[in-house]
Amino acid sequence: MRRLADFLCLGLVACLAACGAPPIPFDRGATPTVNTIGVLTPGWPQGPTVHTAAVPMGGFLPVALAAAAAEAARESRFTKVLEAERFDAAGEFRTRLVAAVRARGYQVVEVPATADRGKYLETYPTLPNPPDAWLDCVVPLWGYVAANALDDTPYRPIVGMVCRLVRAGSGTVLMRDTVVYNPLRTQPASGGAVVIAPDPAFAFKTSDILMADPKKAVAGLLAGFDSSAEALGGLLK
Amino acid sequence: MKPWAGLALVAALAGCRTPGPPPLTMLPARACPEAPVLAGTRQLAEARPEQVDIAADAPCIATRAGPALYAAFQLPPRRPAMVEIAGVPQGETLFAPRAMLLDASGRVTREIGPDAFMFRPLGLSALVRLRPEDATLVVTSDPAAAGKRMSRIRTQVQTMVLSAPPMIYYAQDTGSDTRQELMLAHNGRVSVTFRLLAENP
Repeated sequence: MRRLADFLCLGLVACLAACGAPPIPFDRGATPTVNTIGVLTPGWPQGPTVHTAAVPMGGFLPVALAAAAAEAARESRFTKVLEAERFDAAGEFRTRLVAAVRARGYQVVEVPATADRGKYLETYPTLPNPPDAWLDCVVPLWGYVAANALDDTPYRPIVGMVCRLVRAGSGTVLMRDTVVYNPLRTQPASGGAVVIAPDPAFAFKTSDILMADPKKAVAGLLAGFDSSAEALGGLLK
Repeated sequence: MKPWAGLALVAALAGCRTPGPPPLTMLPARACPEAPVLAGTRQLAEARPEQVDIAADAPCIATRAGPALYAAFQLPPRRPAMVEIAGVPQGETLFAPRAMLLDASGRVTREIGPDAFMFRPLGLSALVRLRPEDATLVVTSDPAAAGKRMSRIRTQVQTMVLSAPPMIYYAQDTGSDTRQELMLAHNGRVSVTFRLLAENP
């Protein structure tokens, strides 16, 4: 089931980029009244993915079920590895997101929101001093993926993120885009997501090697968070 | 066509790579005007990508960083709208893009620098929201970037479907992890797409 969920998540990133939510570029020069951005707690999945995309004969149900069980075990083990490292993935990502927005000269107000959501907020908080705009981001998945189950395609970090900038009050969408670090699935050619190639320094031939080097595994994830947040900042210039 | 034949065709196509022109990293000496010549500007249509292959004999313009090749596009007047500007890889060659927007009098109103371009599926791409005064888009090569190499890891999964209705349906994913070597150049393929935006998406 988890394998199915991961597949759907991987598909979700592509889908959010492709269906119904084409990117909208931000024109900062034409929007001088946006100076303060309320960065909402990003939507965040329950745990990391450790996904193997292509399993030989994976189209047959018994093979798919066995692969799903193996994947669930890998993810449970990786979650424990990260817990032992006291790795707060959501916190690390949020810190980088805020820093990337601040680096573009905006004032930032961090505003709590539920992280347990797979979509944008439908309504935004009411504050005594509201920001000029809300930055609403959802991370459908993060973790590691290998393109196939053979040893020739290593596990590399993956991060998928959808974000929109919404003017406070009017609700006008000023910017909307998708950023995928290490996109595994082919994205639509036109109007597709920002795609970031993974850092070659973080490649693990097998999941056992990944689990055995937690410090490097965390560093790989942080590289993905850094690049994704930086790309988002670039979209707000 | 038999399903196996289809499968073989898909595999063959996946294995083919289109060779591109050799990357042009230095422009031969020639006189380039300081402003683009807008005669022969291509007209953009809504949601239809306009692709131009810029070669050594394309018109050139003198920029602060040196001579650059360019292509010019006439923007439809409807707003709100955006354009996607992309340098599209052709083999190893990737057009190093910059852009500028001109008003109806030909005055440059905005420059889109290289830091606005990020990789998207189409290539090295920038999305730009258009303003009412934007009349012409000029996409130029970036002399400061031409000659730079880029190496990118590409992980990909493709699904091949084998079907012989109504009984047989089988989908198999295949994954690959490869390195893509690119060189930014004055020449190469440029794609520009004009798209309308919803008033309040």
